[in-house]
Amino acid sequence: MREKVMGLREAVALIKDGDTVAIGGHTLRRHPMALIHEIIRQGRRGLKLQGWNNGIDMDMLIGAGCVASVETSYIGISAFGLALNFRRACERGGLHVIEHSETTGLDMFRATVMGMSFFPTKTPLGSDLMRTNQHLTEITCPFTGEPFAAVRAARPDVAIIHAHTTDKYGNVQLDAQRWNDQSADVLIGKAARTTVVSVEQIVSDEEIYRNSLLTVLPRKFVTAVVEAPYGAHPCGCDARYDYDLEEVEKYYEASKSEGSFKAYLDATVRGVADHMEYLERIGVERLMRLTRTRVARP
Amino acid sequence: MSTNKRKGAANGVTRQEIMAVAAAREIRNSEVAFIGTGLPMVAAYLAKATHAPDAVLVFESGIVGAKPKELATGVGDLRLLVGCVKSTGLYYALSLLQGGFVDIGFLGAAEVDQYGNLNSTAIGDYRRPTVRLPGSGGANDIGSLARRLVIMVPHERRRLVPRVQYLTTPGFLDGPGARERAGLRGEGPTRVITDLAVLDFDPASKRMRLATVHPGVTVEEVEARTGFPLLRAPRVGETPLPSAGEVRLLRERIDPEGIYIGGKG
Repeated sequence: MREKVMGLREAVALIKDGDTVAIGGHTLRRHPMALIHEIIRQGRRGLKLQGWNNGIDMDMLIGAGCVASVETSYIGISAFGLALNFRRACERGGLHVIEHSETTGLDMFRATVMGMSFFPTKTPLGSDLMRTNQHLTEITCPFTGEPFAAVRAARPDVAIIHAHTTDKYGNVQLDAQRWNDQSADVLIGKAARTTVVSVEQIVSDEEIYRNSLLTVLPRKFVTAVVEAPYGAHPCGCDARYDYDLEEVEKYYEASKSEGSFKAYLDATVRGVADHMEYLERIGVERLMRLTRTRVARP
Repeated sequence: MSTNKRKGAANGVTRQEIMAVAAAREIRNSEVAFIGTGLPMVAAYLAKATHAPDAVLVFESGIVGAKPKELATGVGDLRLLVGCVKSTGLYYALSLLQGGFVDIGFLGAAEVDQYGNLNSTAIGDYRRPTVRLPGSGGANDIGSLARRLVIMVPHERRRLVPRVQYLTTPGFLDGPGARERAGLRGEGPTRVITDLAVLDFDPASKRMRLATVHPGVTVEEVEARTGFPLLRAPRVGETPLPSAGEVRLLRERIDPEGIYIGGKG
């Protein structure tokens, strides 16, 4: 069986300029930030990003000059407001935006995973989403004659996701305390040609067998796995650690101008050799605080 | 508690508190309510704590039946898991909308027009906007599929416009019958709750209509702050003030830091 463990640098080298890259995560939760930082460090350009509901992940890549287009229902920095790099890029012109509703942003991956070339839905009918998104078109139900919208199946070159554990063969699991198996990350991971998953920890295969209900991406769907503890920071990672509002606020303030954002990237992303050095800059005290303030279990 | 935060309309009650209570009253007991951040979250918690204890709150991240102890900063916040009956994923939450199981949704927006259409995508030309906003998120989905929609916005001329510059979320589109023709389900928007008034939609023309003004607000003030000719209900009343119990719940249990309800009147 092929072992899939790679270092961060090697795994991100699988992504080429101009690739269509689908990103997992949602609001301030479990975006694969360690992978995104490495993409910026390696200077990728012309990427076509896909997601269903995004924020600091896409905004940071846009601000770093890596992005040609974005395809998603949303890019905003929750709790703080607009994603300012995204906003600047749109208002200046030059960033191509493919506008979805949350349903169509998810269904574009669902279609691919189910072997369909499109997926039917009602949501964008009548709205300007139909008018401005070439991946949406109107169809008629062959049985009832009622109108539906069809969203075209997404075919990303690469998917990047952050999860909790994996064995060295790429059987990826999420903890019992997290969102259900039906999470969007699973669809994104299955829809891409190449899937890179960063995890909090690499575990033994016995650990996988013992908890087989927790497996969300069996190894067939996974190309490379990278061990990156706190790899979602400053986003939260379900029950493992909370989101870092202090860092997100720092990010938001820095993104108010191009100059201050470049300084932020230089200090936080480009100026560190790797993920461990990034974590050392955040510091043990802050990381432990994020880990200790785990919210009450249901 | 800082008294600065409590400058408000009447009886020391803030406009945001009036809005939260008006919104809470829209949730009927046992209904399924689709909830986002901000005042709608406050309103939903208040409804559950008062007249709608059996209401089922759904967050789009996949939390069903939340009974959280604290406000969350976003719909993906793990705080929302506390006491919930079902923890699932986005699929499930969206499938509730798709299957017609959501009775009521709440939305804000940068622009609302006289037919209750919403814009959270772009101000100005779409290809080269003056202001690029985050985009639909779950807004389009909620507006298209919830049985009823309640819109909550500050009452400003630049926000209440004759026609949205980008139609992110459908209200009544361009008038009577338009939603049905487009193939959408659900009744559409039923209320617009602002810091000045509660508005509804004229059943015949589907145009926005003034229903009640908040205490201390005049009809003329509302019209002056609306960017299109505003219809009036046959009898424009006064928005009921929150009860002492509701105010206590809001200030002591639900939003003690006044994050959403503590605005100046």
